[in-house]
Amino acid sequence: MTTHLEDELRATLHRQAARVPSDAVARITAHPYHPRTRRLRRPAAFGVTGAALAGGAGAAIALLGGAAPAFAGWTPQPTTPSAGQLATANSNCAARLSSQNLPLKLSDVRGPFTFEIYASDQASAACITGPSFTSASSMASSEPINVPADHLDLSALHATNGQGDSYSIADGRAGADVTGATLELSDGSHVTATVENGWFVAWWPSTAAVSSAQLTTSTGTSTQTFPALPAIPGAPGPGAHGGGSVQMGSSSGSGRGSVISSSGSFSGAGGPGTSTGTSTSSTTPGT
Amino acid sequence: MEPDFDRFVADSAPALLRAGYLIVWDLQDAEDLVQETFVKLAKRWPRVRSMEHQVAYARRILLNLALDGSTKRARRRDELAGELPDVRVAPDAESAVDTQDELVRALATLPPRQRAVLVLRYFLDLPEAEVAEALQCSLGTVKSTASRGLARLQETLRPIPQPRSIPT
Repeated sequence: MTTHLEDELRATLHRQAARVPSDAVARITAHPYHPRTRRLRRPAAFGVTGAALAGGAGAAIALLGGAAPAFAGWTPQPTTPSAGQLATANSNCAARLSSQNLPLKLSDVRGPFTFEIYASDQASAACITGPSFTSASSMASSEPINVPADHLDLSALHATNGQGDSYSIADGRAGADVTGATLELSDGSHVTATVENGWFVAWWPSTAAVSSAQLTTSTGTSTQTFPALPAIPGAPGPGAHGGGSVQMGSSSGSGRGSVISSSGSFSGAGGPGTSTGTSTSSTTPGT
Repeated sequence: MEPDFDRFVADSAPALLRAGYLIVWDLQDAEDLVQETFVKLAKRWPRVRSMEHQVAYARRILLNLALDGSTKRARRRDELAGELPDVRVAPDAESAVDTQDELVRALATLPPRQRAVLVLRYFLDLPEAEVAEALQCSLGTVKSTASRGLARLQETLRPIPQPRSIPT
């Protein structure tokens, strides 16, 4: 039971709070607070083996069997955008990344989802638009990356959307000769990446890791393998490993991102920003 | 800048500023405190972003800063001056807040911790358990502090005129 004093106190506090000038809030929100971001493209020595595949081999995709409704309509191969889909994605992403003025490098369309990469020499950003949400994440690229012409510089990460549904993203730079890439996942399924303007991206609604990539180049096909990344104890939240994070959530901002995997990249010999490693890839004639 | 952080700042700044102002009873200090709260959150954002109760976490930082003492707060303001643009409010901004109300004046005389308990309890309508969690103290401390605060308010208010007895 409240007393008269408590009622008066409640009313007085609200009345007093309401008189805080609105421009005070504006001053606070106008600050550049610079939240710490983590690099997605940390150079790491990933080996590449020459386990060439016969071109076009592909296991049946079963990802959608257990996929969450939030990802309904997702496809393992890029699809043709519906009318206005790209324009909507571009508009939504531009609103989220308005302060960065990064040029669009790639648009990956999978059913109702559009994943875009914006990048300059100094920074990059990813943005995904779905039927009921748009989410963007910026990430600094702190050093130049020199990708061998027939390889991918891959960053893979797992995340969850606001409803706790898991998904994974693999993106990064594609070598100059790479015109196509199909990722083989740890569960045996395959996802075809979109490759444009020296970038690539693929994503899938599961936590399966990337085992290898079958690359199509101007001279044929080759396979780049990615050793299994070390297990992460306790599935920690963001910041616990070297990976980056991409938040996916609803347009209301209620989504929560959670990175539970790590990233790495392979770069061949030579050039600034490259890491050490061995490469013994082989090539099969294109079909 | 991360869009989700921007959104969090935009969404939570008004409530944090109002609560901060009511606790420290100084608009300029409250602005500084909220700014510092967001600076701390920004540094921890990769971890905070996955929290279920981000606002409660921000409020806890704000409370820690607010109750950390006016001397330390002045020192932090000097430190922040090198980190953030100058956003001091105009001298007359404070006067925009009405101080005529009798209860308002009584509130101004309360120690910050006592006022903080009352603000959390009667402005934010937090249950006592959440107040205890926010202030990192026991439930009993919250109850006793609130009780003392209310008693002090009652004491400082003008005596309520008693109805005169009817002469017989």
